[in-house]
Amino acid sequence: MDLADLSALLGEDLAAETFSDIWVVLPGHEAATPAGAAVLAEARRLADALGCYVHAVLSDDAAAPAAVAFGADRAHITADAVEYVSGQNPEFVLLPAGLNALAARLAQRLDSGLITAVTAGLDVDPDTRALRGSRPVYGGDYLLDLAVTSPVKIATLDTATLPAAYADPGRTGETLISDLPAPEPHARDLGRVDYHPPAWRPLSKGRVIVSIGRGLGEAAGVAQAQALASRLGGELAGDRSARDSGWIDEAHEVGVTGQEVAPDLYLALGILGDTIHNAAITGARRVIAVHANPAAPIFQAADVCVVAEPSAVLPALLAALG
Amino acid sequence: MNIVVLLRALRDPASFSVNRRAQKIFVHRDLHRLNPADHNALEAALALAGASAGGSVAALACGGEPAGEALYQARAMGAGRALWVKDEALQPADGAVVTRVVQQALARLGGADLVLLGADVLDADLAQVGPRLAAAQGWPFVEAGYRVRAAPASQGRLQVVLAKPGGYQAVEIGLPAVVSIAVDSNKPRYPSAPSIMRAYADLQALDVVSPAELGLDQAALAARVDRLGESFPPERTFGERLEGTLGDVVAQLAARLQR
Repeated sequence: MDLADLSALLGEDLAAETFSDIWVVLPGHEAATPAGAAVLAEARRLADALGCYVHAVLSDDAAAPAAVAFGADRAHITADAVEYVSGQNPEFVLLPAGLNALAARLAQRLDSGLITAVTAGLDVDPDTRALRGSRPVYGGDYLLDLAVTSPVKIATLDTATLPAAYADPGRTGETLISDLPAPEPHARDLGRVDYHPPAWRPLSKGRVIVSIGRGLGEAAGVAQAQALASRLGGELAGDRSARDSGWIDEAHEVGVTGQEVAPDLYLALGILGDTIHNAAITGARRVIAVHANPAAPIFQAADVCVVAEPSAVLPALLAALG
Repeated sequence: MNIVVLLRALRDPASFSVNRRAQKIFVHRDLHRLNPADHNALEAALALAGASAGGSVAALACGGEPAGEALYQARAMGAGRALWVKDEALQPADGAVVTRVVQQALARLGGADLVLLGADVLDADLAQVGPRLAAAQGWPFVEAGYRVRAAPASQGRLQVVLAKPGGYQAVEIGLPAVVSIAVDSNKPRYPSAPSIMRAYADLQALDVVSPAELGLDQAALAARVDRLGESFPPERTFGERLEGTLGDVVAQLAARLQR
């Protein structure tokens, strides 16, 4: 009796078993990055609970060993991830949140539901096989608990919230190479342009804000704070005292009298933290404060407090970050 | 150039507060507003239509009364037409359903050369509507544009400026296309008082249709994503102090910053 007979006997299509696998789409060198590795590790966790395989879809075969080491059973190399995955009958597809647009294209193609930027609670309902996950709304005020119920389920993961993945170099997996042609690019690249964003709310989009106050001491510290802001990919701002000292301009003043901010990380250097200032940073996800005075009110609004002279911490921190 | 802007009305963040300890959302007032990034998309559309001869802007929203309010605002700001797909059930709809509604609504509006929408949606998982719509129509999609304008040399093409690490980059795409607009990429204009009054006094200001009139039945509106409820991040604990010598403290700080 072969598989077809058994299928007929049981009234189920046993050959469709591959349908239950988890596919992780990571074009480029994503598999070797912390974000790609974290998604692969999450896929591995779900697959171990479900008893199925993890497939990694890559565009570069150099990334295949990393994908296998982080949890993939099979690496697929293709130039057209959407077309390739659509032909593979996936049940679950996971991607990093940086690829939301690709995930949405895939979801539309497979007529499936999609949850983007999941930060918590990713699991599969054992009864309905719905893919559940929670994603933040209103800048992280609260989370929406969602469940994808369509036959194909897709989610993208906010990898900053995932634990760091570890590689197991002893894992083995096979590599398949597809010869699908690369899709025609829709957009023609015109290169760098000299564009200046409108200056009306420069801090509103800053995900990282390094903010300085009079406690920084010398004006020499301002250049170091600017260097730190650049190193962290953020904006330099300041409180009222910094503006009075001429270190920042009006558009970069944080405070109820200036701008209210809601970054992921707010690093306060030498800011005493009066009510006017602290009320404007309540939307920040994480506040780290450095001030020499242990009684500075900023420490009541900060998640992490460092009681030290900012002018001493700043150069050492820049050296430590490299 | 016929531009369609997709607008979403959402509960004003100032009208509710979230209590993480009680695990509850307390709504103080029934107040709605336009999704901030959609507001920027509307401004980008009006600026683009104003710059090109024969440009028109139609605003499109789906949902209950707040969606209608958003469309009156769009008319007051200068949108020539507004289509309201009126159905309370569409307010919490998922990305696949909204995409389906928008596709039908585009046909009702007589097609579009360009669809603009906000690059992110504050209250729901609907930023996916842009790339979904582009995929469904077979059009190009550009995410989080800062400035859009007609390509100077060739007809029927569009130049979009995008933020890249370390600077800005321009791309050129063919029309029709879908472009999402980054929040705060422009300063939306204020409607004048007379234009607000004209919009509300005009009985034909909004074209109101039901999903059924667009040819959408219950099966077409079936959700692929269920909303199970809300959950709350843990309460923040303030005041964790890093101890040790300056070297220790800096090392701990660097480790936290690199995360």
